[in-house]
Formats: sequence, structure tokens, C-alpha cells
Amino acid sequence: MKYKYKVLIVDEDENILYDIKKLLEQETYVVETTQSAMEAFEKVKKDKYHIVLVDTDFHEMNGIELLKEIKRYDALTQVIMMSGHSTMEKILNSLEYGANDYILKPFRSMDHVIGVIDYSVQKLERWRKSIIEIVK
Amino acid sequence: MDAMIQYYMEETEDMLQKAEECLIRLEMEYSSTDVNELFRIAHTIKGSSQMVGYEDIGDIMHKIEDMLDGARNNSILFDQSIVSLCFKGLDMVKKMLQHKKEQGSQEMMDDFINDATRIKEMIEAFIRANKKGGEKNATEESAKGIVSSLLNKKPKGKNRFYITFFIEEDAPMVSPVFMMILKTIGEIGNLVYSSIGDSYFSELSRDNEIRTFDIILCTDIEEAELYTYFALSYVERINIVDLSRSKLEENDYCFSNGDDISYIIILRVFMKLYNMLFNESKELNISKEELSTIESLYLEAANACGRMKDKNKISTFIRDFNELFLHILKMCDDQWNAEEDFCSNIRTQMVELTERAYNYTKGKHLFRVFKAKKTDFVNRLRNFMDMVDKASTLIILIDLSSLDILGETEVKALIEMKRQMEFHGIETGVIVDGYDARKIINIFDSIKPLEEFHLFKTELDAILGVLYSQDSFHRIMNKIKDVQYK
Repeated sequence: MKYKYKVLIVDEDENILYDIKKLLEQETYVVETTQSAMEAFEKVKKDKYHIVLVDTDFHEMNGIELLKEIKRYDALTQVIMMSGHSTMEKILNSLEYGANDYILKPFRSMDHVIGVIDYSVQKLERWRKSIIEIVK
Repeated sequence: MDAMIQYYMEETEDMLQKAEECLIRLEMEYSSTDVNELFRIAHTIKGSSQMVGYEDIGDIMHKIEDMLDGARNNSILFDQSIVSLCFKGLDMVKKMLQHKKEQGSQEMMDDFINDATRIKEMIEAFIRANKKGGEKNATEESAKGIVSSLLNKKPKGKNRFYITFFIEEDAPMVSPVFMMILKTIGEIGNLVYSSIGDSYFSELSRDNEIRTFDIILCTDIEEAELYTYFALSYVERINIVDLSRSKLEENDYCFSNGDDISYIIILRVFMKLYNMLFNESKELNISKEELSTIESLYLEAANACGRMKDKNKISTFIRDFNELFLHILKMCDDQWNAEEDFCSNIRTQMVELTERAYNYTKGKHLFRVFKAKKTDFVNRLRNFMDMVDKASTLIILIDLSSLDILGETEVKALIEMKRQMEFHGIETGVIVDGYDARKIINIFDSIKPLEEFHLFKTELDAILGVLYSQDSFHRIMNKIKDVQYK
């Protein structure tokens, strides 16, 4: 992949952060992680992230709150929500608030995770190409 | 509306359209057919305007006709200034015509008439200056009345600056320089006060001893940009006091125009050192050869400081600069024991000194700042690019903080500008900040494969970012590598 996409993963579970980071780095994504939703929002304000993976449950800040803040700040960022089976309602809620996709936990397979992220990348890629086409 | 006037309006609009088409072709290449056609249009509009009683439009078309007549019969040489003056004039006529059509206020019409007078004066000056055999008195003649016309214009623009121009001692003639300054003022705003009057230009035994010129200027242009507008030959330095915000202390400049070369040398030393000490690897590992390079770099910079015109004003800068070098030499000497804190301290000191030096030269010499506004972005950018001195400028900062979004034409203009500047060896940095900045960042992000812009939050970040980034380092070095005292 010639164009490097930046991904931020936000989850309280350290293992998940580690697994996805490793996986995405193999696919040449630039990856950052954080366990805190507040910190995640600060990061989004400071840097450009193309994709943010957000867990729906945090102690300090609701995952949906974070989603809303990110979308308000940068509508183009692809936000992918991650949630357990028991909280399907949360996923539906977050899609209503502008989440671009969701991944259920525990992950069906790592290929599935990659598939969801790649789908977002394709969307960004299409958008980017059309802008370049216009500017050319 | 009177049937005749209606007919006149329709006819004139048609002809203006045709004239514009001619001009666009002439912009690309010269053709006598187009010049003749333009002349014919100007002549017709002049006649019909006078017939319906629109003397003001008739007058300006008359001037355009004169100029085109000169170009037609070869008494003045055809060049692009004619095209741009025609564009200006026709644009004005269009505005006046529209205003008459809508029966707008007299006040606004007066403004238009004032602007039209300025354009007429510019055309007159152009004809005089370019007419074969008539060059000599050009500046004197066109200067007549310029001060009072600028003073009589209604003050417009949100900013008010008290500006003092210092003219170089060895300027052979002062009045043409003042004239150029006044012309520039006419383009960007108007005068509230001027220390010289119209009589200065007409007096035969004028006082050539005057070496400073004070004005109060009303304009929409920001202070940092003004330096670019007034970067004229023989102007040694400019002192700008922002009366609208009385930011007096920020105007405490130190490096003057003549110190450019010294400053470039100091800058080059800083960049080389930074690159040597910090960029390539985190670990400090200075060999004996490198140590002697550092010493010779120090000598080079110290000499440059020594040659600065007004050493009193930059004495603290020189002191801190010497101190920094002592620290660096100490660090190199003692590198195995150097603590991490000590190294990062040196790095901070270097960045701070660069910051200070930047504040002294802000917008004035090597770094040019363009503050984008929501309206007329592309034209303002192009004018700015034309004005920038390509030889001495190292970095151009485009400040987009006051925009909420960038359109297609704006992005294209920025890409074109960046490439053009790169061709001249000038680096470009873009400043975007604020909540809305995200939209702009997204656009730059998506055009990355086409053209990569470096984005920063503040002017200082941008300067430091560009100066100390690896990819700019070689390009800037390339541009300034040969600068030295003869």
C-alpha cells in the first residue's frame, strides 16, 4: 500500500490493543493505541487519524460520547465501534450517531477485523481519488 | 429605463465581453488583430458613453483607447502591463455600469469614480513611462497629485499602521522611491497622513536630503504581509507601528535589511549544526573532524554577527549565541559524560535562538507570510507570489487559519504556487489552526499523493519545522550554500 493510513485503537483491554496493533502493522498501517477515551480525543485533536477503533464501554467516558466528539471534530474520520454480543443495542445506537462500522467482540477472526478496516480504507480511498481527480 | 440607455447597456455589456476574450488571447500571445479589435471596442464604448451622458465611463475608456492606440502604432511597446491595465480598466467599467443599472447610491459611485481616477493615472503614467523618447519625466509627472488623491480617499480597511521608510544612503534619487511607495499604497489602501506633500514632487530644487518618509496607512493587509509589499529597492528598512492594536513592543526589530547575508550565514550554521547534532541519530557521537567543523562553523557565525550593522540592538542575541556555542563545545568535549538533559537543553536553546531570530525578521526578509482571507483568495495569492523576491526568500508561510474550507480553485492555486516556489528553491509551509481546521487538513491529507504540504499550527512551528526537517534541509542548504562575504 503506497498511501499510509493512520489508525488509532481505543480499548481498555491491553491484549486487544496489542493484538490489533501487531496485525495492522503487518499490513503497513501506522498504528497508535490508548486505553483512555479522554486521551484518545486529545490525540484526535492533535493529529490526523484516518480510522479510529473505539470500544463502546469505558469507565471515564462512554464510547458513544467519544464517537460523537470525534465525528464533531473530524467528520471524515472512519470510526469503527467494537462491542460485545450483549450490547447489540449500543452498536445500533452508535451507528445512529455516525459510526461507520462495527466489530463484535470476541472477534470472529482476525481476518474479519482486517476485512472491516479494509472496507473503510476503500471508502477513504474512493473519496481521496475523487478529490485528486477534481484537483488535477 | 430610457430605451436608448437600455440599448446602450446591452451593447456595452456585449462589447465588454468581446474585449475580455481579446485580452485573454493577448495574455497568451500577441496578435495585432486583437489589439486593433480592442482599440475599436474602447473607441466605441467611449463614444456611446459620452453620448448617453456617462462621462465617467467615457473618460476611462478614453485613456484605454489612448494606450491601445500607442500599442497599435508602435509608439509604445506592447507588453503584459497593457493587458493587465486593460483588465483593471474594463473591470472598473463593468462595476460602474452595473451600479448605474441598479441605480445604486451616489456614495458608492463616488468610490468607483475615485478608483477609476487611480486607474486612469496608472495608465497615464504607463503611457508616459513607455512612450519612446518620453521616459525622463515620467515619475515627476505622474506624481502630481498622488499624495492628495490618496489622502482624499475615504479611509477604508480595518488596520491602521504608522510606517516609517528609511531610504538607503546611496540611493541616487529619493523621489522615485517615494513614488513607488505611494503607488503601492494606492493599491492596498489609503493614506491618513503623509510627511511629504504633492509639492515635494513638483518643486524643482527639491530637498534630496530627506531620507525618511512617514505615513499613516489604512488597509486590510496584515502587518506581516506589508513588508513584502514594500520590499522595494533602495528602501533600507521599514518600521511599522500597529496603531490599531498598539503592539509596540513586538515591533522592536533588530535585523535590518542590510543584515540579510549575515543572518543567512547564522541560519546556515544553525541548520548544519542541528542536522549534525540531532537529526541523524539520537546518540551523540562527535568525531575529531566533526569537532573542528563545529569550531569553524562557530567562527563563520561569529564573523557574521560581527558584521551586523547595529550591534547594540542585537547584543543580547550575540551573547546568547556565544553561550550556546560554548555549551555545544563543552558537550562535544565531554560527550561520553554528557547527560541527556544537557543535550536536550542545547536543542531547546538552539530552537529558542532561531525563534528569536525569526521574530526579528518576521515577514521582513527571508520568510514571507501570506494570510489568506475568505474572499479573493486566488488573486491575492497570485499577486503575493508575483511580489515575493524569489532570490532572497527562503520560506513562504501560507496562513489559512481564517478560512473554514478550501475550494477546488484554491487548492489548485496552492499546488501551482508550491511547485512554482520549489522551482525557485523556496520552501512552503502551511498554517492551519482552529476547530474548522480539520476540514482543511482532510483536503491536504487526501491530495498527499499529488502534492504534499507541510502543515503546522503556528508560524513558529512552521518555521522551525521547515528549517529543521530533513527533506527541506538539503533544498534550503542548496539555495544558501554559496552565500558569503566577498
